[in-house]
Amino acid sequence: MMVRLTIDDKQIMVDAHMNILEASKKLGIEIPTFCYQARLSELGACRMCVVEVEGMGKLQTACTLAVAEGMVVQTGNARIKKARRMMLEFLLINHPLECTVCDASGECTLQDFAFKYGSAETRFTGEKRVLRDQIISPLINRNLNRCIQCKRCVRVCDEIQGVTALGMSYRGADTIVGPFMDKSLDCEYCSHCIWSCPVGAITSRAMKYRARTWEMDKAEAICPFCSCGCTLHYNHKDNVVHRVTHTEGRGINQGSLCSKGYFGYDVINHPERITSPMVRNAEGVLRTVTWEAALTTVAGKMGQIKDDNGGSSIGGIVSDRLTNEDLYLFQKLMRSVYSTNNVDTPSGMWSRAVLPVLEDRLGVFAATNSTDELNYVDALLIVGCDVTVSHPITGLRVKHAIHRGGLVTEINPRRTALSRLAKRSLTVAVGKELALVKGMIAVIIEEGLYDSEAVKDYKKLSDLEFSVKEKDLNVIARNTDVSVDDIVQTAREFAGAGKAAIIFGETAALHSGGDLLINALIDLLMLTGKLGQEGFGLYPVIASTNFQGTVDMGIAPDRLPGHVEVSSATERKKFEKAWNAKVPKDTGMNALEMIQAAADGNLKALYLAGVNPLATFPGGKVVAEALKTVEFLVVQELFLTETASMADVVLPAGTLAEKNGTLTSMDRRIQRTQKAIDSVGLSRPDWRIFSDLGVMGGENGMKYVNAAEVLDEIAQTVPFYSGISQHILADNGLQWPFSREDAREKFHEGYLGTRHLLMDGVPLDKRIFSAVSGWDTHGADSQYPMTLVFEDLLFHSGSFTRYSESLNKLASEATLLMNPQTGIGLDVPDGSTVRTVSAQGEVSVAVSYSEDLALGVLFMPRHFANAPASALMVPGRNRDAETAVVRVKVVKV
Amino acid sequence: MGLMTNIFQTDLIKGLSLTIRYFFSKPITMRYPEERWELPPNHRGAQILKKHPDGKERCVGCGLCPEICPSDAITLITSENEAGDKRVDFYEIDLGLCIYCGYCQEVCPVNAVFLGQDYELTVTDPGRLKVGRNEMLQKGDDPQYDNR
Ligand code: SF4
Ligand code: SF4
Ligand code: SF4
Ligand code: SF4
Ligand code: SF4
Ligand code: FES
Repeated sequence: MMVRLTIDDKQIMVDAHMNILEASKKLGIEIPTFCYQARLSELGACRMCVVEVEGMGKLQTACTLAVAEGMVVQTGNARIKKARRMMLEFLLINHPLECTVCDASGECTLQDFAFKYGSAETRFTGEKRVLRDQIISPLINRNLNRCIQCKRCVRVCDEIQGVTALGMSYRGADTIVGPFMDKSLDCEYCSHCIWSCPVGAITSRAMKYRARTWEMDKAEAICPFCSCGCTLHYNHKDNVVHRVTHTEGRGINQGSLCSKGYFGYDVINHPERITSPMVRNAEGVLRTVTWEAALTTVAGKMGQIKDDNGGSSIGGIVSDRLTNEDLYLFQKLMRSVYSTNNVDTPSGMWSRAVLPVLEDRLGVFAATNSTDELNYVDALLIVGCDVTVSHPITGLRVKHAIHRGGLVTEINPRRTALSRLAKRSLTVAVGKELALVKGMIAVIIEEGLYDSEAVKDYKKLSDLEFSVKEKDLNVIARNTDVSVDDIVQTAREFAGAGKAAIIFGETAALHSGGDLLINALIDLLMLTGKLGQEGFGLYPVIASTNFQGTVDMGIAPDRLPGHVEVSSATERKKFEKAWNAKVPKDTGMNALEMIQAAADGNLKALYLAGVNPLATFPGGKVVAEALKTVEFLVVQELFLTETASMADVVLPAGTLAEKNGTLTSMDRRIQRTQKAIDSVGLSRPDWRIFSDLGVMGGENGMKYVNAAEVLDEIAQTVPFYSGISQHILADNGLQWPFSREDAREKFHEGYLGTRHLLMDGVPLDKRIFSAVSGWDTHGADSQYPMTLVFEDLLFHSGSFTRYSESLNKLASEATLLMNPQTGIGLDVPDGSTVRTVSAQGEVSVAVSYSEDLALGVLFMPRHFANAPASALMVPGRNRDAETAVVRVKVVKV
Repeated sequence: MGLMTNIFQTDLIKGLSLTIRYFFSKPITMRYPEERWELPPNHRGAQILKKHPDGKERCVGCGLCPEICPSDAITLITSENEAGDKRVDFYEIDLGLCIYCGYCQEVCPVNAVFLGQDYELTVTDPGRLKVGRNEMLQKGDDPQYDNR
């Protein structure tokens, strides 16, 4: 319903749910506020927003008063001005006025309003409270003297982040904001409170007193830490990044960040960054050399190995954190200059496990829908991942859905931070998820809850029915340790929901039978008709920042850019023409095969760009062997990692803050990231290094002046990136596939491309149920009876954030999580060290008991040097699917 | 005419008499460095940093002077000290860049930085023109450089 009202003599028609503040904003009238924030609940505490409404005696708070038909409002007359002046005077009685040093100065609402609406003199004096700065956490600083009790921090922590770490105690002028019982803060460090505080009461300790707000320049970039693809601004001064900010309403994150995005920036100017190229000299020592010398060495040696042993003896593994331009040039260098299809990335293991299933069943090779659609789902299944940890901003969307009453069911081997909020958390051992999903399908068929319209032309419905009815629901319930009621309810909720979606992660996909589970999940979506519309769909999630970019840019031994097959002669022709060079026709080796081949002496040269296989690849011993045996090892890195220190040539690369380019988020959004600071030391952006090596290798087609030129070439060679340019990406990202014309003409009007795939439904030839047989995808192994799951941590991503001092303050060591029931037979006390042994190797690590885990399942973070996951992960030529979950036994020391 | 001048060297005599006259009169130039200018009290010379009477530094590291300086002559680095307060780690003015406009003095909220009386800024090594915090604090204590 619309109502008409008058504000400051101007008439306006607005929606009846609006408050006066929002209506005034539409008219361009500014009303000062402290406690109001659009996305938070109303409070009406600060009384700064007072307005005069005809017929109401007292002044009213604009932020809490709803508009009504015929209302006449004044927002700035003498009476209001006086009231605001008084409010400010009251606030300043008990305010330290230390703007000279306060970190909020320059962005402080109190400072601004005192200047704009306040009076120059103070009539009241009183004892000011003096509380020291309190370090309530390693990264968050609290100065209660500056607090104006607006409660924004408390509300944002509760309503947006869902953590409720902050509260208010005492009354009046003594009110303090802080953690429960004023102990130290135990939270997700999402930075929402810092960002919400209108004054300098809650600030970042990482930048405390290091730079003033106005001194720093800002550059808009994309966060390098996960595939959510958040937009952030690097704030820098004197070529040092001092903090990260974000803008309300901008980007995928819409004004939120997580701990990694907000605090992880200190890797950029880390003192241990490699600042010049190094070559191993005759004595076997890495020595600093000029770029010229380093590049000549690489080009010369690579050329020689190619001539002697052929391109197939050269391999390259590139990080999935790099930009699309970097990735494209890397594979172009490998294919056109070094004549090899041995190109891969660590997340290739994920892509090879998940994408074939998606392509086969749905004809897509990415998440079907946009992450922001999760805000409004009515039912959601989260299988085998903790999305609030691996993808914190996507996690916020899920929390938002829960806030709105969305029914979220978690199926995971452990309870997570989301379990407390979710409707239901089903703790199921690895491998048993399939039984649960089949149970749900059985209920849906049994009770006729499926979308009969949607399944009309599907084949094999009866096979599906047969496959799920093999076992009785009671048996399923007993086997999975979940009650029948939970299975039935979850099934009913999912089938009956207006909008429903499924998220699945590494634990679900990267174990031996992961593909069966994904197939069953797709069956569930097909059966209930939850595909091809807003709020529906399937979200495969992996943290690797630009994993979608690696898929799109052809970082795979069998795929060229545009996800086309290397084996197709027509596709190869196309690229040969575009690159004016030959493209090898044989499928190459994947990352694990390359490592094995190097260890066997069959691979002569290995180019590692931003990857640290010693820490992150399965089979620690084989990897060490491979790096030692390989004739020529080039490592392009930010830090002298374990792997880099074994290299023959080390090339210093740049972080995302030091280069222009594009990244593709997990929901297919291509976004622009911009350079904030000049390259640290002599380091160079990755694409530039690849380009230089290409030219030195004799390919003039590898010559590029800037990253934009590379993007132009991508726009010509990758069909679904066709027509893209830095210019078009300036305002928003673009979700592929998009229309070239719309992108060109409407990019500044918010054209976003395709929000969700499968708009015409599942392709006709794919309308078949898979009806997977089998119930347990993991199985048992008497020698290694337990299952170890490598998990992501909220505060870390990959081995990259190990270099962030801020994040290390939050978590820097691995422990082995175990259910105390599981531990009974082992007789090991909490905190004691145990040996965890897999078929591959073993690590010694301290045990930490937690009731949250399923029986027989162990959890360990994969990021830390004290317990390298690589030592336990079992490699194997084609069994790369077993890198998220391994079978282990635990031995008491 | 020319002949007479040549014979009697009158020009020489004229010149010499001028020299002799000035030789015995009071000199106009200043005999630097024995003598120095009496500077006006608001002369804008090299900066000094003042302390509080109790010896504590006045500068709180607010960052306003480097911000306002039109020639980017001031470098300031601050951080958090052990007590959680703001600490000035580094403060330096490059007198070779400074245009002696006095904005830094004007903007300082705690009256820490002033343009002092020191104008003898000739050096052989331009690096010496970068004056650090300790030197400026010393000058601030020295009445020779402080005109307040
Ligand atoms: S909170 Fe604002 S008003 Fe208070 S000292 Fe800081 S900048 Fe000044
Ligand atoms: S700490 Fe900041 S956000 Fe929280 S109540 Fe105080 S002023 Fe408001
Ligand atoms: S959610 Fe991911 S992309 Fe966003 S700030 Fe956190 S780590 Fe960065
Ligand atoms: S006097 Fe002017 S130019 Fe010199 S340091 Fe101060 S502000 Fe800069
Ligand atoms: S303006 Fe004054 S207090 Fe601020 S940094 Fe400069 S000298 Fe220090
Ligand atoms: S903004 Fe309306 S009362 Fe605070």
